[in-house]
Amino acid sequence: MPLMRYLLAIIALFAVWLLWGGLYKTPVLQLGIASCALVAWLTHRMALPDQQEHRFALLYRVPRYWLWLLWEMVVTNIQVLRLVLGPKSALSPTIVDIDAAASSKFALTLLGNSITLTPGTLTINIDDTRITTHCLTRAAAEDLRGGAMSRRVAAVDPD
Amino acid sequence: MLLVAAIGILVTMALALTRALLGPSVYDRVLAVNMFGTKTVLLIAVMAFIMGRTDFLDLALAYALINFIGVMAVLWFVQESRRRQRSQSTSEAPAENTIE
Amino acid sequence: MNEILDLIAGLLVVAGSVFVLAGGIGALRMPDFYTRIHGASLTDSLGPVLVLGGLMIYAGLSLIAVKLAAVMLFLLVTSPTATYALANAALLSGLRPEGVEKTSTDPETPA
Repeated sequence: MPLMRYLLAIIALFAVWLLWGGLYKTPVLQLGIASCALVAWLTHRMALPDQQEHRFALLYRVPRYWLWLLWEMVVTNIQVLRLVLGPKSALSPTIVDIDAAASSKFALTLLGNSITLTPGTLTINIDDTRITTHCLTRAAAEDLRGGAMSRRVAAVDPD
Repeated sequence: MLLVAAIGILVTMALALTRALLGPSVYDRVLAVNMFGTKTVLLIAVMAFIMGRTDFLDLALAYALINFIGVMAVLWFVQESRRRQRSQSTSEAPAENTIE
Repeated sequence: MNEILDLIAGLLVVAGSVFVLAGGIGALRMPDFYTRIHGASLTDSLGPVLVLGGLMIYAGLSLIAVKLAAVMLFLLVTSPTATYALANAALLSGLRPEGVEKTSTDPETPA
């Protein structure tokens, strides 16, 4: 439904425009709407239109996931802080594959980025069925293979 | 306290520059430059509050955008030049870490 | 009340800069490229969240806080993407991680 996509893109762009604009007079606002529409059209021409449906349920599921991710980031940051300042013998780099065969593109992106965002684990390759990660220690690799993060992401995007 | 944080971020930027100079591979340098860029964003944000000029935050966001696009452009350039090099010399073994 | 909030904000910003500084040290002293990324990603995860979060407390409920939140959101979305692009480019170019044990060959990798 391209019209819906255009409309959502223009609304989102205009919200950002209003946030950074600071000058609210009618001709300026008209110019703003026109430039937002132009950008939406250019983006539509430039990129492959994404195949996903808009799922508004994500709007409340994703922030809940972020809260969990924030806590996870605190824990792993402190672990890596110790590793970085400690002796190099504590490192045991490990490469682990994570099965992601059932995931949608959105879930794959979310999981890959979340893995990179928590220090100590790093996404180095993604194909359609699995995510290859580089981990700083064996323990971090074991945590990742435990699959807590994959399950959380699957709960955010169940398809 | 903000001044302490600003100094900490500045020192980190100096460390990133050291890594960019040391290399050894291109990717280390790109990593360091990317780090330098994201730390610049933080530094601008902190400086905006130290100097009481919160309009600097617009610059911080613009810098974040430019940094991201810049890193992508450099990576694309590196990959493309490697691909061209490889197609020129297909008989040789694939070169590892040759570009400094 | 205001002093306490300012103190908390200052502490958050300083804590963030400690993580950033540790990440800088990590990027300098880790042994190979892939472990250096882990060091650098330390400066990209909790550091910005704490620094910008602390500044948001300083700013209070205002347009400035919204802008700071936008900067933070943008950094948190783009920095792992850039890191992934970098690591993937290095991997595809044939830069091998050092001293790695590979445990992925197990047939039953938990999902």
